[in-house]
Amino acid sequence: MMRSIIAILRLYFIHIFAFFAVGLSMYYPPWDIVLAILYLTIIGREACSLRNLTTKTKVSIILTWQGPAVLLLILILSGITFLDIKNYSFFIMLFWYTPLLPFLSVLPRLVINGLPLYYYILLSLPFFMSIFHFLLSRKKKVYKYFR
Amino acid sequence: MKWKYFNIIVFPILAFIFFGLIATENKHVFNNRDAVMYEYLKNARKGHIGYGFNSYYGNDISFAGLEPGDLILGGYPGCAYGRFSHAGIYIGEGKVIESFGDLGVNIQPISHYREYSEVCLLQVKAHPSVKKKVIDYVKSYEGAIFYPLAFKNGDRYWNCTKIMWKAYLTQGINFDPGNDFWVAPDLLYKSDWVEIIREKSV
Repeated sequence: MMRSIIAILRLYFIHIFAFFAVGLSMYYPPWDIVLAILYLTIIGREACSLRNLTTKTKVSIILTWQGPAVLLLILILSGITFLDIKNYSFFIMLFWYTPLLPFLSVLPRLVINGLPLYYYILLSLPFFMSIFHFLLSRKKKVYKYFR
Repeated sequence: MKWKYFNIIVFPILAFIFFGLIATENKHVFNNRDAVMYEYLKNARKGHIGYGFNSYYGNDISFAGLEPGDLILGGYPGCAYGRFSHAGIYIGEGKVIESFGDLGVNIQPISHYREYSEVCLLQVKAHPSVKKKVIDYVKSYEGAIFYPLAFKNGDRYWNCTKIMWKAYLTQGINFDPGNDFWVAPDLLYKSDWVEIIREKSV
């Protein structure tokens, strides 16, 4: 229990300071891309450190870590226009995923069904990040680099 | 074990370094009490967060007199950035190019500016050939990512005002001679490069 709480706190700590660091590094492109790669590497290393935990514990850590983004995703998809919740949720989601935005910023500028490609990718990030974390926390030698 | 500490301290250190670099390079912005960041903070203390209270206010402003390349500003009550929260460039045929959260840089009908409680049409003091180049520049970024706090540097993150500031800057017209980090819509309103065609408050 204590181990999973520490793991969650570490992920939040890293994520929040990565938000500030990556956000500020956007002033000096392409440093934002370098920091985004560093963020993914560190998250990967954090995931690898959880290999000896049970699957149930790993899933609960991932759900707690990605919880705010999943909640925002639900609000966006719900289409609630009251108090402009849908639009504000999208704004907050852009901020929440600031550490990964440099990757979205280099995507092709495609517009699909009236919405840009980054819109779809941003909304799928809670799943991508959950899968990324879960795969790296499995006991596999293939992820040796992240140990 | 050392990596466990590295993972935790690396981003706070990097955030501190980048903040220090930006602050050192932009002392003039930190010393300017009219800078956009101080406007944000001042309004935040009043409880004004984000772009304000979105609703359909139904202003009945006439769009007559707008030429392609001119600017249009819109604002809701309670906006954190000042009187206006949004901006677009008129591209003719009843359409504007603008930038918004889920839409990125995109083309919209000008009629959607009727939803704002504050609206203003600005004529840019530039030759039509210059305005055409500006429109072509902005159009080339359709589908690019929107980020509310997009710094002026770089061309991968945009907000509604940065795109038009940058497009006109490529033509030698600078809406922000004060060299702030960000360009707020109110800055366009106050610029010497524009003339007010018409404005309305509901």
